[in-house]
Amino acid sequence: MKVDKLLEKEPFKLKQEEKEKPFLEAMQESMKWHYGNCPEFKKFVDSQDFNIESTYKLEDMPFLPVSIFKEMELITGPKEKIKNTIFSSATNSGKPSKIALDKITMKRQQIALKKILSTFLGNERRQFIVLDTKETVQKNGSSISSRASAIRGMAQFAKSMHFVLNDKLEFEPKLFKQAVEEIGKNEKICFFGFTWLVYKTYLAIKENKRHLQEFEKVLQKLGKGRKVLHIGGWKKLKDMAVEKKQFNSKIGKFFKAEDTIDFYGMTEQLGTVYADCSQGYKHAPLYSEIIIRNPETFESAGVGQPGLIQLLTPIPNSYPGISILSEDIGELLGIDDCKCGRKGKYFVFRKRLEKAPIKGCGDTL
Amino acid sequence: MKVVFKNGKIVDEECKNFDNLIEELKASQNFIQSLEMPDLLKFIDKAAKYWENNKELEKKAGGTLKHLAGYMKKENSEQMLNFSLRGNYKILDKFIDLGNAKYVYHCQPRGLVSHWLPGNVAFLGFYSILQALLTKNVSLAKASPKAFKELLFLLESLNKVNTEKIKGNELLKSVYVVLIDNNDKENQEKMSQAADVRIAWGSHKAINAITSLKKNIFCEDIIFGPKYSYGLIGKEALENYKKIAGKLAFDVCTFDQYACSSPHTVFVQESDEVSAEKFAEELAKSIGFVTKKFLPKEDKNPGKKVEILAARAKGSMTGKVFASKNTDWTVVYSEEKGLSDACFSRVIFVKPIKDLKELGEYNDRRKQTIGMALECQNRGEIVDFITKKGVDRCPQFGEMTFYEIPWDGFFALDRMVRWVSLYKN
Repeated sequence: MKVDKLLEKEPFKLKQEEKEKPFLEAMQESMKWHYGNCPEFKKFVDSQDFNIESTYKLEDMPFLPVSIFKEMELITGPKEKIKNTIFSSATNSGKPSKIALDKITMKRQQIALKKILSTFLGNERRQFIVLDTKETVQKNGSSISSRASAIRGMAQFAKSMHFVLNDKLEFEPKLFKQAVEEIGKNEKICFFGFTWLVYKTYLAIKENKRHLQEFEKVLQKLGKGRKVLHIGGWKKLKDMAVEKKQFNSKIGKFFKAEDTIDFYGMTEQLGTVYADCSQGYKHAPLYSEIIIRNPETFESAGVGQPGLIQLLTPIPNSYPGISILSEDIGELLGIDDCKCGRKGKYFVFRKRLEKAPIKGCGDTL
Repeated sequence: MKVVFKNGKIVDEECKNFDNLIEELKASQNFIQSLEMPDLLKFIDKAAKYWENNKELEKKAGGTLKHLAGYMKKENSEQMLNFSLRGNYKILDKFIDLGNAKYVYHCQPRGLVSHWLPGNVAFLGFYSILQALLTKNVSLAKASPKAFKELLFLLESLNKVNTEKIKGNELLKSVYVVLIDNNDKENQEKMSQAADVRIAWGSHKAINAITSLKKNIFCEDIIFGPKYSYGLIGKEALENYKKIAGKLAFDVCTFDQYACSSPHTVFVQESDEVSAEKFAEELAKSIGFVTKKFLPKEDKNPGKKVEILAARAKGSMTGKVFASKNTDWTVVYSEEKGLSDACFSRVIFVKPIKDLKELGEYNDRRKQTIGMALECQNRGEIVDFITKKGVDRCPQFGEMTFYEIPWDGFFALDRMVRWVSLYKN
């Protein structure tokens, strides 16, 4: 498959012009696969008057609103091949997305994640201090939460993982102390967690004098090459009334980290994550593309125009999430010319699209 | 907290002393209670005529103004009052013999009506205030910051209406409109405790918040919403399916489907000639026509547009979608059982149904209106059966969103008065 060829290459080396053709071809191939093997997706594509045999551009491809994965369990190909089902956190609607993964998809996701994150973390494995509880990653049959999936995805960058929250998701000084003792001073460290949980932990430690003293004392025993990686959950963070810049600065200082890196990604397209580069921007790798769409007209928007982020990737094999319209507002900042050296499109995440309020006396069901 | 309408004028004042404001309003009770009902109805009728011919106001208020004007016509007001108050609206002026052997009766206004107005349809606020006026009550209305300007335009326009007995600016002293933050419990509580009647419009959350405010134990609560409405077409009526689709299109487009009486699902009992899918296609044409010619779409919320795309995507996977090129309107044909979750914003689901009595399972107190085209002989029996647990109105299509009496299963005007009996001489 063409997507596998793409995955052999480096994620940020090709210029946009060089990327477009192989990426489009991989998308077209993927489109045909899902069209032929997912009856619901076929109906959807047909309803868009879209001819998969025609010559089309990336912008012309139909996009599925991301919430469709909360409403329907969409599977491409035989059901028996599904190995895992990932459930998102259901923060906004109360309904989780359900994403069915087969071996092929999981393998591709793993490769993409490794290639992308290596450009941020380097190839050397780090000691991971996970701001979460061990229980999160424990498997419940073939169902996995998106948090568990994100943590598991990080395993390939970790020498070992140390969980420092208890099962109530509270900071546990004992676990932290134990982790630091096991790690020692000469190791590169990565603090990792979901954004809201990282912030909640930070606040809780700050507010508890005893915990704070202990935390600071123990923290000194760690080596200097520290990074903080955090992902997802900006909605919850907004409820905590903190902006990203403020967050990064506070968290960076607190963990005495050289970098605090925010990842943008979604359960519906695991593997292709969008991490902040040294300039604070997010880059579309070779394995995926973003299109910003005007929220009024859904037309493709140019550089400097905020709009809904559409994410495209040929990676999914077992579910038709290859072209998804997110509910996030972003802005394309440029192409190929980011000072960090990565090629391709780069953008910023602005905010979640405000959910339309239920107005007045009309009721849902 | 802000005062936005006071003494007949649109204002924009921070309210420094809410207690004083309430006292000022209460002071105007004497004036409104001194009015004779025929004079009051004459004034309201004149206002309706003034509105009907007011192009500028129509531009600000949209197509709904005509309906509102029709509602305020003397014949309608009289009929509504008579219907609500045991047959004779003059009972608001004096003691009337209603045929009881021992007593004559008179309705006294309850006093001050506090209204928590909805955020979806600014005009509903006017209906609410109008009913308080018609029963000689004064009104303190908390408007939604999302929908209050149209209401103020309508109220202010009454300054220009004068009759021999009533001057608009005098009557308007009995209506104050305020904006209070939903989190400002202190002022909302004052508003609640001052009320002789509380009228609450809105979502489940809003109603819960309002009804949990402290109140006078003799205060009457009138709760409107939240409700879900839908439609039903019997096979005998399908002969006129095009006409029905045309009327239903207005029900869907009015208020962009945000009213509690707006339909979200329509069940079609298929005939040999007309299938539910065929009806869906016809309905789509009609909604397109109504949107283009009469009621342009007002809802422009980007979040809602994305929800519409999602509803269409799901609809295309589970049924068939007929939709505008943009997100203006959507008809989803689906064979999924039951009522579809409301998407609002001109999205309607058309479903086939075999046994009409099945609808009884879907009804509870949260269901309000079933728009109907039902011509079978046992229609009374069927509607009796399906409305046992819920549903308060079964109007014909085209009239689903017409505010009428009774509403939500009760006579609101009746609940804004006190009945006084006097033994017969």
